[in-house]
Amino acid sequence: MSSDDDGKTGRLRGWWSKRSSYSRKGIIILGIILWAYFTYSLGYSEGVDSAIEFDEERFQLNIVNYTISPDPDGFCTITVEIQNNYEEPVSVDGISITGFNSREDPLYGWAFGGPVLKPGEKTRIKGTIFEEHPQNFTVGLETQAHIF
Amino acid sequence: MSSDVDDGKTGRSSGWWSRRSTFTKATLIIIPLLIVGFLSFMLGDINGSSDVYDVLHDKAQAEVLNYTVLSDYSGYPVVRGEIQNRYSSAMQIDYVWVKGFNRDGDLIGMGRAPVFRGSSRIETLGPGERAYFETTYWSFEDGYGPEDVVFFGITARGNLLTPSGKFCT
Repeated sequence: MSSDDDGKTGRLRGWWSKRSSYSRKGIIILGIILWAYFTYSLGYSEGVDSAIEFDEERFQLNIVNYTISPDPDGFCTITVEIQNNYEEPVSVDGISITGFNSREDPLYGWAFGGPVLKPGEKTRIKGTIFEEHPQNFTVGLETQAHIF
Repeated sequence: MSSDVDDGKTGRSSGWWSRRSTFTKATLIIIPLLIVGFLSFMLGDINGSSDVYDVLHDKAQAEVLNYTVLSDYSGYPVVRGEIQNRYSSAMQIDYVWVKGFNRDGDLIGMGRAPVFRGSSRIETLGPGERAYFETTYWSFEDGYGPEDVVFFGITARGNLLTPSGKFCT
């Protein structure tokens, strides 16, 4: 043995070669599962943090009014008029739509943003509610915007 | 030879492996581990952000009718305003959040504002009802203070309640 490292490596090889084929496979698979679990947890934590940070930097705009009408695909089109009541220009990210129908089943929708609104400016945004029309339902809206 | 087929395969594989250099062996182990790690990380990242958005997507906003910004005795902003539930269902709302941004557009402070009717704190707004909010607690990023805030953004959101009183989720 030329060094301690060689000694350690040798002991490790010796230990490894004494394991049965079944044990070796088990150790390798367990190691891969633990590694995947560890990296998945890191990724999950990163995803939660980035989504919370993204959300924290957003704020809402005023909803002036909205109308709901049937669309050609059998769902509903929602047109929402929003206004920037702040004293700075803002960029509209979108409007998330939630709600429930007469059976209290949840419904969802989304209206994509994009426009930049100057202080006091209004715009209309169209979105889709994934619910058949006509239905008796209640919708809730949440606008999201950030500083331009 | 008692088990030619199996031993043959294992032997060939073992022989092939033993002929690799230490560097090649290390590479052949590390690269798959990096790929598995990267894919697991990306899957975790997508699921983590998706779970947060699922919770947030169930919220609806109360309208901010008006607000004013004052300062308390220590220079911290007091943002006071009025919100209204404009839906035909009741809404549960725990806090209104006031977000303070600096000149560069960075979020540097978060103010938490409970909701009041008269002097009593409330957490449920009936259809069409109005209520007041006022910031009672602020947290600022390290190195920043109230004097750095040039813009306030407001988030007043809660959960709609179904007729049977359940959260709309």
